[in-house]
Amino acid sequence: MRARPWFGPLLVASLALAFAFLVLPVVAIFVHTAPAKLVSSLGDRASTDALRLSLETSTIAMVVVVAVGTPAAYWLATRVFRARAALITLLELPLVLPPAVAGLGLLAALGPDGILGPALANAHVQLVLQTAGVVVALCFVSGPLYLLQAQAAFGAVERSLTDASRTLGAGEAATFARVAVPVALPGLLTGLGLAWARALGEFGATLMFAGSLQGVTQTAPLAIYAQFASDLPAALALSAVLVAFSAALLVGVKLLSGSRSLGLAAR
Amino acid sequence: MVFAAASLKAPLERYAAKLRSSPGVSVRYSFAGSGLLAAQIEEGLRPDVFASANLKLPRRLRSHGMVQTPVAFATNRLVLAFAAGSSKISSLGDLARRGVAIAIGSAAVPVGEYARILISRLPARLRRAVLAGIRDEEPDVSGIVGKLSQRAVDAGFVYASDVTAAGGALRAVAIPASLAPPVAYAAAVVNGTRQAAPARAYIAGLVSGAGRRALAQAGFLPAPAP
Amino acid sequence: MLRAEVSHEIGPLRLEARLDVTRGRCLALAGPSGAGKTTLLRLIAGTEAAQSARIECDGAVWVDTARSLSWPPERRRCGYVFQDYALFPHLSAWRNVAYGMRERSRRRRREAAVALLERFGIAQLAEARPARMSGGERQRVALARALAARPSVLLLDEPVAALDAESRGRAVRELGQVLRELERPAVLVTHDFADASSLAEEIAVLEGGRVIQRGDASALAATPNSAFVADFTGAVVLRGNARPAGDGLTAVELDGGGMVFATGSRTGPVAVSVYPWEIVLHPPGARLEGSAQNVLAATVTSVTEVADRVRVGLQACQPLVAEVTHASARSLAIATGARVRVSWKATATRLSER
Repeated sequence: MRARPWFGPLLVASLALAFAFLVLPVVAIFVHTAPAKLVSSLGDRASTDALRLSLETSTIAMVVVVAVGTPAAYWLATRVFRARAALITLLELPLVLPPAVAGLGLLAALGPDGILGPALANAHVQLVLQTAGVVVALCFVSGPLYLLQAQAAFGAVERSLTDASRTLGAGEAATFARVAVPVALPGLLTGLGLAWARALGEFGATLMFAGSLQGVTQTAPLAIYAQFASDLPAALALSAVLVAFSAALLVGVKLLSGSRSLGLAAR
Repeated sequence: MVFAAASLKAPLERYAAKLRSSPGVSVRYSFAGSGLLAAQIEEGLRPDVFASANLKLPRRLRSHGMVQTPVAFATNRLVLAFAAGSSKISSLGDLARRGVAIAIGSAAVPVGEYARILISRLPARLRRAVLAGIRDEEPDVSGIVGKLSQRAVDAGFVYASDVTAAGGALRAVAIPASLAPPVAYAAAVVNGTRQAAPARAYIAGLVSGAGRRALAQAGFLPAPAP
Repeated sequence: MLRAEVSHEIGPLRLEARLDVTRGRCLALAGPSGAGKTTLLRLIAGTEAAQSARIECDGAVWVDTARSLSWPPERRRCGYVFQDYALFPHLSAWRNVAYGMRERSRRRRREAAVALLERFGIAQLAEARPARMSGGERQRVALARALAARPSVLLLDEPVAALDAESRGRAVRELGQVLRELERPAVLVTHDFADASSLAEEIAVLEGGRVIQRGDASALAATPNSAFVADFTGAVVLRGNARPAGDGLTAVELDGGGMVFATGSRTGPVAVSVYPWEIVLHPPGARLEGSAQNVLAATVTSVTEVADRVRVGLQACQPLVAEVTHASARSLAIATGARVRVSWKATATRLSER
């Protein structure tokens, strides 16, 4: 086979193109308006409310997702049963739904006219138009991301490790806590980072299910959309903060999981 | 290519269907909140026509040299809407009742501006109650209609044409003329379009032609006399 | 005393085995791969659920499927040394060893763990993670960990298979010491006959899911029941077709040409086994005297000095191995490519199913 002299440069050119295309809009957010203007519009009450709300709701959603998702993922990873593939596909569904559809689904299930609407009303639980509703929407769209990553991470834990733990006297719960979770941790952290970033960026489902009101349900993405038409610098400033935070999240997760998996891989 | 306010969706689509029967004319739409569309034009997008739910936005674009003189082509009425079958609201005064959840448009959108004008004209006590009852600010009218139909809110300020378009899902309480804000729809040809003549013809049809008829069917009133 | 009786399906294979091991003794489990040895260990340990079994240890019934009784593995507490050691990668050596200890005080656990590591000569690795250890060191930690939990039974799955030749020798000696001192039953899965004979008092050979032979090392070597056992115990195995030849003998036509005779009677396809040290080498033209009845012509393919003897690889109609003294090798001028004649007695020829 003759080596084609243009193949190498073609690869490089493709990469450069992809890189430029993906990176340019992100860079443009920071560069479009003067930095001083960006910073000053951040002091806006609407912006600070939006950022605070985004951080609060996404953090609470992550706590719920990890608390419920980790044992669920472990169960999925360690039990073999026929409906397993179907169950996993069902759990993946929220990920591929358009956000508006997700919002509609949440309304149809948990809205005042929804299936559980009367039950929730009887229990004096109101989700629609409330901050709690934002948390519910975030859990719905980002939960599966964590669940699937965690399930894969637990699945990759070698069976001999959990077997060893059992023979040494640790029951299932102790084995889960002392062996499965620590060994699967890099995968769990990656899942958490992805889910968190997804939750921070969530727009459609939140708007449809919880509405948009400053200080109550207007998260950063919603505030950006509301301000785009009237106050572009403010919208850009909020966008810049979101980008910076998401980037920090991704990098942090990579570092955390990378250092751990390096330790495991160096056999 | 026409950028048009979300509340114009039903009548303008019917208008486009009528236009399609004559040769050589094809209309594509982008419906969204008028504020968002205006911002897109400011950022350099170039449709052929901009149809807004107020006069303010086209006038602003005109002052920046982005569109030509706006032409008013319809008016609408702001109404207080609620889901059919709900018995909570029967008058404006009912908005002051305890636990009433209200949805309005966000401040950047005409339907939200009009609602705010109306609220500012209310007697003090009712005004305070309404402001306290606002639980949702939607980026466009369809969001408000959605929340109403889902009974997520008890009342919302939308256009009369939206109630018509909802086909029975919504009922409306009329706003007294003394309080009602003037709602005017205006359209303008966007500068830099390469289809200026068809664009002007399209707008003309909105004022008196197939477009006018479609608007009337949808509950839009004719343009105010100049 | 560990007593186990299992009947378990693993895919197409049906495992039907019964074994018992007295405390203080070690049973070696040998057999071709896929025979069910590891599965048997896992059924004993409880990390796999048996379909039908009865397993008891020192009077306590661990498994009785007839009564739907099955203790979870953490209750049986078998010390298990895995083939890949299965050390917890996120824990240091001493924490690995201390994992199964029941002492409450952290300080006492650490002391006991370090003491065990000391016994295996790797106390200096107490704080190290498995990733930074060599294979031999990991093997020792795995063994220490299994012992530290004061197991009821010690189960070892090919504990030295992954080690290089040098570490293996030392590991086998260490393991032998541990087994001698252990007052619990032990089951050792191995594919190496030499290891089995030095570490275990008894060997059970599992083939096709069944124990086809059980006995001590010399019994297996003397009378192998199958081609596998013969091969396992180090015999030369030739393949051929047998028919009765009168006079108490059976004639075997070897695949590839040649004929040998054996005592015992079988017909049809057989495996013929003879031990390398029973094969006598002669120069090509020699006249053969004595009671040997099997003679083949062969060419030398390799000459290897092993301790106090010489192992000669040969090719007749099929490959063979003979072991002779250094003196014999010299006097016969054995070298690669040399032609010789090999002979052995019909009574030293064993037949088994192919």
